[in-house]
Amino acid sequence: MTPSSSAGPPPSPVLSDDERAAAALAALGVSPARLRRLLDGWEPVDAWAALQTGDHPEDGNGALRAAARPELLQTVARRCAARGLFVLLRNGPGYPAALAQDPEAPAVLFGSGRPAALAGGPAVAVVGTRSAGVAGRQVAGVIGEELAAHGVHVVSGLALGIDLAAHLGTLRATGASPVAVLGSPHDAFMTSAQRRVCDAVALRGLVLSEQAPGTMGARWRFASRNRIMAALANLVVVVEAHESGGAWYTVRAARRRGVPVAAVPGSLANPAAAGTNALLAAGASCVRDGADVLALLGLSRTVPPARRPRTAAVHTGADAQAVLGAFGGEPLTADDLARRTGLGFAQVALALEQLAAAGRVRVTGGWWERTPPRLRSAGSQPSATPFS
Amino acid sequence: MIASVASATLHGVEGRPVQVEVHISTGLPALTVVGLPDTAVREARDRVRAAVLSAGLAWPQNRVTVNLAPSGVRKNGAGLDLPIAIGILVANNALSPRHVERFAFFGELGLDGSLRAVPGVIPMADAVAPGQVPVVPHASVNEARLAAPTVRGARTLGELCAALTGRGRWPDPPPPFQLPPVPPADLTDVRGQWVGRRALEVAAAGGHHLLFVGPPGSGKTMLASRLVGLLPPLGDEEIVQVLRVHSAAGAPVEAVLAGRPPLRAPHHGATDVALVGGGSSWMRPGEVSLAHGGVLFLDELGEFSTTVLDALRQPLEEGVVRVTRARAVAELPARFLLVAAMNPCPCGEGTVPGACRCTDSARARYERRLSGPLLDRFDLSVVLARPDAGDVLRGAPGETTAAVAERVAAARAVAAGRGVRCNAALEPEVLRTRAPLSPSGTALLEHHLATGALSARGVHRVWRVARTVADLSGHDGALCEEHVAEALHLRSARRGLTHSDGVL
Repeated sequence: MTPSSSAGPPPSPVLSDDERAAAALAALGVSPARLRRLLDGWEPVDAWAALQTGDHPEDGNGALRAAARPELLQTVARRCAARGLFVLLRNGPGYPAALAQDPEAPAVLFGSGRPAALAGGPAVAVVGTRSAGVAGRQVAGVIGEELAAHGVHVVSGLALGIDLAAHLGTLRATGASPVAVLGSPHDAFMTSAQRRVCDAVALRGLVLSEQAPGTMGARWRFASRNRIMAALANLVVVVEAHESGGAWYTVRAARRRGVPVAAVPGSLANPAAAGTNALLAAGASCVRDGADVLALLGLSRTVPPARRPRTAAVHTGADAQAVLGAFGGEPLTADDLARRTGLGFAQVALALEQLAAAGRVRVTGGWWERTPPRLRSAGSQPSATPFS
Repeated sequence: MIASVASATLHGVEGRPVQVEVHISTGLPALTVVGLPDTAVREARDRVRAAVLSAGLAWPQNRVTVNLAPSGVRKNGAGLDLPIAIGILVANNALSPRHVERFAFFGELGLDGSLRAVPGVIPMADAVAPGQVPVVPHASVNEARLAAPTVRGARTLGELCAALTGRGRWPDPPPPFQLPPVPPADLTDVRGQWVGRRALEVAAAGGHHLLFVGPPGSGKTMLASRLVGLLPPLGDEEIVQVLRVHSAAGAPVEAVLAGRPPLRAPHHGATDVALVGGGSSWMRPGEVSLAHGGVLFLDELGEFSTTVLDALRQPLEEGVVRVTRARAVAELPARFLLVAAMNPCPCGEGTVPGACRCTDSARARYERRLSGPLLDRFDLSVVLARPDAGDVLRGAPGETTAAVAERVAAARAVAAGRGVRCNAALEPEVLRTRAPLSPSGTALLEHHLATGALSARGVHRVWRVARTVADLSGHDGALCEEHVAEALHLRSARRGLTHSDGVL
């Protein structure tokens, strides 16, 4: 699939009767397993009709019959049309092949973008924590970019932090189309950054959700979504993860399916790397960048990546060198740096400004981190420094 | 019989003269109060009758009408109890008009005839006609003396009547105010926390509003409570203003007398009326006015309601609050140094990259609540981390408040030479002429402007802070790179904090 063929939004699809019925069933908000049972052995239209008449064996107490109001068909269809969503049925056309055979596959998927985006090329799920450090986000971005450039579909969840960084990386490259699996309905709340990336991914690839538009989100749905990512992927890469958290659902789902898991190592002092380091200790493959991931997939790099210009050498003073040397792997405040270097606050402040202008350190809300040297060139280039 | 007695009522922080007229005529025994009284004044009827009878004086067995003139002004508070009682006594011939004509009366009555203190004695005593002597409850004598040269006080209605008729003596005035000891909170107790200490010093020297961002237990409150000690003492004119506000709100005035800038720290449950004032017919001053000349400390800024925070914008900009209600408008002074403390996110760990465990929507909600114009008013915003254990246990004691206050006073004197109250008030044109930048300082600011880290307004804020930093170090030339760098760091809490930064 060439990028040019994906230009422009796809036309708003018209839903068939079966798709409408399946969408309405999904809009009842039942668990994925129950939705599978509702549709197991039924045509969606028949399942919907049986629910209306109270003949569906899965609805023993009639609770779903009460919820399945006839106008739901139109409501859901209208909501799908408003967002340009298509409906994929398990075993139906367009349903991702990797997912169809999965025992926990969603019976109904709502998608925007191109349904065929997953065809051709392996898929790698890049996941991690929402509250990631600068280094983690950079690695995720670099991995996303390099994988996409080498024809690997990057699957992620569009959460803030690692997920978003990985997809932003894929959007920088031209290559395999990205795939996002949402843990909420398509029309649920997103921050503006998430919405921008979500729209960009839909334009270039595919955004999936197993929840009907207009339904209520729930926390457990995010964990449940991770099984879809694991099932779609040939490899799961965890970039930064805490000792517990959403990424672990993906890891466990991958292990159940026999999908290999790889992790990016991080500083022992970084709480956001505790989970990935634990994965490595437990035997996960160690990856540092896109090349390592490609090697794990058995793909050699066919095209050497474009050499990025190295950051120009900066003539920083002794103070700046001392400050740079005081960094470990963890984020520090200016207070910490003053204590470690023995310099005054004003000197530390000036040194950090010089280093920041040279792209050697980065600040997030008052916490300073040293930019990983190997990745210094990724992301936005600092403009000409006033200190050269 | 008719009688007229002088008094005053409170409106915002101003006193307004009120003439209490009493008319006794034939008719069934009754007491009517007219002239826009509020509930407390209407209830005075029962208190006054009981107090007069308890004092052993006669109550008229006729129809009594009390008029509060001018009748278009709302009268409020229990302070009119005493003039109403005196007026009835005069109209009933228990006192002669010439006994009371030189006096103006304020005070609440107890059922036993005792006189109780009321708020606002200073502005009310200010409002009486020249030549009239305020008569106040004994407990308010010291306060009233701050506004009037001669003040009379009494403990009970009986004692007062005796003194007025010459049958008894005026009681001795209470001993003058005991000035409270210097507050114990000293900067020397703060170990480590260089950034926080430096931010306090710069805030005090330049009058820059200050925001602390940090997890629970990082010493935000400890630092903020030490800021008043660094501010220069109140000037004479300021003391008068601050006294009026404190008196009108019924707050203690002793610390103000010592010239100590007030510190107000309202709880985050405060309503907008509690913060900016108003709320009753007499326009009670709010926390922003009580903090006039001093420090308003808002702990847990993120927990205040958005309407309350928005209400702060006018006082922050203009130094006054105009409280407007259907019936009245009051202008209350409100020039204060705002110090706020907040957690970076609901879980409190958000600033450290990788440590926050909040959900996306919770974080977004928290940030949305504070975004925009209010956060823009903070010239200084610094991140505090929990103090290093070594600093707390073994660290040397920090500099004392007195030592830092000396530098602050010197820097303020330099700023006054630019014709402004403090550097935070420097206009952009004045900045260019009176606080020039060196080429290296300009380059650093331009770099931040070019990368989008600073807005045009942000540049001026950094510039002002850089001037204060330079003033504190006694540097009087053009602003160098290091001054600008330090100023940038003193607002670093919000740098790169948006979600999109670092990935986009």
